[in-house]
Amino acid sequence: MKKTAFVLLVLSLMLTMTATSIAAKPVLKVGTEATFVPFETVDEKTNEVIGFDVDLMKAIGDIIGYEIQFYNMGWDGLIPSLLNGNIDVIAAGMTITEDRAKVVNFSDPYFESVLTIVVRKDNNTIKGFEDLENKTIAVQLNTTGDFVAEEIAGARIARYNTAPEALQNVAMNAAHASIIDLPVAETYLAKNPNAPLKHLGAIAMNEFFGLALRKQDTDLLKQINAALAQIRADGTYQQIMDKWF
Amino acid sequence: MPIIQVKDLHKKFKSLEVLKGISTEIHRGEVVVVIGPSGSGKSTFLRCLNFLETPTSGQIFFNGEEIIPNKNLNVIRQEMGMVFQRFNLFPHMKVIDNVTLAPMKVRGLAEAEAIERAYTLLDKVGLRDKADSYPEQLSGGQQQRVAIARALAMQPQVMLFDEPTSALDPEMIGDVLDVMKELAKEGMTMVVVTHEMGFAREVGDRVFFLDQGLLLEENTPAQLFTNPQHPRTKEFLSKVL
Amino acid sequence: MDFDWQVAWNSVPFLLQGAWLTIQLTTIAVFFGIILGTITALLRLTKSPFKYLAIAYTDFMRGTPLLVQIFIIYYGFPPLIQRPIPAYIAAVIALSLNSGAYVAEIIRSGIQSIEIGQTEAALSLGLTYRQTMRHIILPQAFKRVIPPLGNEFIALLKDSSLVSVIALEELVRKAQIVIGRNFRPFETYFVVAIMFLIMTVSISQLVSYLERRLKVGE
Repeated sequence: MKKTAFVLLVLSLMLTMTATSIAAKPVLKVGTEATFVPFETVDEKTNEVIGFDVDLMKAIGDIIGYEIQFYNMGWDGLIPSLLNGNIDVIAAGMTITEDRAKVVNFSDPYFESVLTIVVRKDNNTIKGFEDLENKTIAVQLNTTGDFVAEEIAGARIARYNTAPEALQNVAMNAAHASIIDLPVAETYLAKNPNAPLKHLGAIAMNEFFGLALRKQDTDLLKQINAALAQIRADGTYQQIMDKWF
Repeated sequence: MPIIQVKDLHKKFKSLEVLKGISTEIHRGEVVVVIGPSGSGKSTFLRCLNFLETPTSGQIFFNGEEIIPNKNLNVIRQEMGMVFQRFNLFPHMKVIDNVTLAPMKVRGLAEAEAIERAYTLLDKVGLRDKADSYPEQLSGGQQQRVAIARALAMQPQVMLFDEPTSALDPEMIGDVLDVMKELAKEGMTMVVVTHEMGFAREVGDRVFFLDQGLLLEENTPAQLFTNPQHPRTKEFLSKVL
Repeated sequence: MDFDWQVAWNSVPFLLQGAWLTIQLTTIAVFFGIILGTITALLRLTKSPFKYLAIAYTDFMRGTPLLVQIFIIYYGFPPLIQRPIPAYIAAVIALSLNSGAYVAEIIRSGIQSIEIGQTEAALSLGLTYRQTMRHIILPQAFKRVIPPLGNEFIALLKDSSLVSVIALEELVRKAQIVIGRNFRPFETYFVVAIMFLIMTVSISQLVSYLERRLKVGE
């Protein structure tokens, strides 16, 4: 009897949930890869995805009238998932690149990031990309750091699934350096004060993060760009910045 | 001195006491046939002689030397050939290799010598032409004769037979018994657990009657079969003869 | 999205490099796995204290994910030995240890499937326990375990893609790199599937060949 009652309870709960979501706003499915502090990470207590990108998307959703649902997946699965319709938007600190822009549409840039080089504290010989020739460079797979490293002559690239793993390999002397987004490096070092690592500040080229959408979703793109402009204008953007940086 | 001496042999499997104190002697050149109803412990008794079953208590002496595992068991086993109900030939080896393996690996015989000995023994059991066959290609009776040749190849002092004909089709039994009779005639010391009363009567020097873990009666076949002393022996013989 | 054969074809040379690493790692791991597994299986069947070491080893390896084992070896040991372990070596160690545990169970069940009469016959001839294992039990057991060993080989081949977490560019990782640049997952993984299929079918063929060759005397 008890079991039946429990099953009924669960079933009715599920029905209510479905019913509310039907009644509520339409859902925008947003894909991310939550190992990219402070842009996105998983809250250890609630298990929810939190971060700069999350707050930004929620603010956009409020304006354009969508409920935002985040889907945490591997970095590599993001663009394919967008293209096959499993998600509608990528908000994952994704740098706008020419290659990516061939297959997806990017929103207006919402963040300007720069790459940095992370080395061990005792390393005084690596000062820029040119010092990385013939060295082992740890990167996160298929990030801009990975693409930049590929251009360096003779470099051996060690590609890891997440940014912390790439940095860990520098720390343990398995790689000479890592090429990674500066804000990610800053946050990692702030959270791991004992890590024997330092970053070399902003190194070369500026990169811009954009939200990625399917090519055909042009209306949605327009709405999102308008919302981004509004957020910047009304101070919401600055609030989110202050919260995470 | 007896070749095998058994002193107060007990064997328990968990709580089941299969042998309840057996003492006896077996002398060189003797053919001892062990009979008894199934479950009497006769196979266990035989298997205790070469410690395939470790006795729970009691002692076994071989040529006056007590058998102690990890000390002399391996060497004494070389002197006690054993033939099993289910033959237990090594299926991954040809007949000739079955027969030469132990002499080469255990006795250290040169291959040529081992092969020569093997052919002599295969001749004796009438299976020289099967030397290059695998066991699965032989009939049960042929396999059992190879098994006898395999045991003999170690030139043991005693041969133990554990119901050697029980798994055979009736028409195969004769060939195997003939080989065993021949062995007895040559003076081999043999301990044979069997249901073949004809063999016991014809070849046995002494017959042991085991029942419920006890050696109830031992005597010459002539005496035991015609004039059993123990009522259980009488009852058993009345059923099988 | 239409299937683009040109994209698929272009990815082949790069993916082949990954397939070669996959083959290397798997073959080496199976080799050490069989040695380790045989020793472990034999230890498990003895009454020595090493038996419990063997049990602990197989239970740990079978009870924890391979991914975790790779992490432990690659990230956990360097602090103890004060130097990084090259990823290739860490992968070979992890895959061999993991495979050894599974092979041990396969060989143990193979040994136990040999009738007790075989051991008794060998011992009654005066062979030692060691000789009995070597000449009688193991040759028969190995014959019986060839098909399950083949399955283990195939499973390991597929599981070896997990070593990509320590930056080894085996077949699946090479595919991920390609996709990060051509954004064509379907074509790329299609080629990957074909390459895996060629490898696994080859193993199956090898196994049935060995089975046929060893058929005699069963």
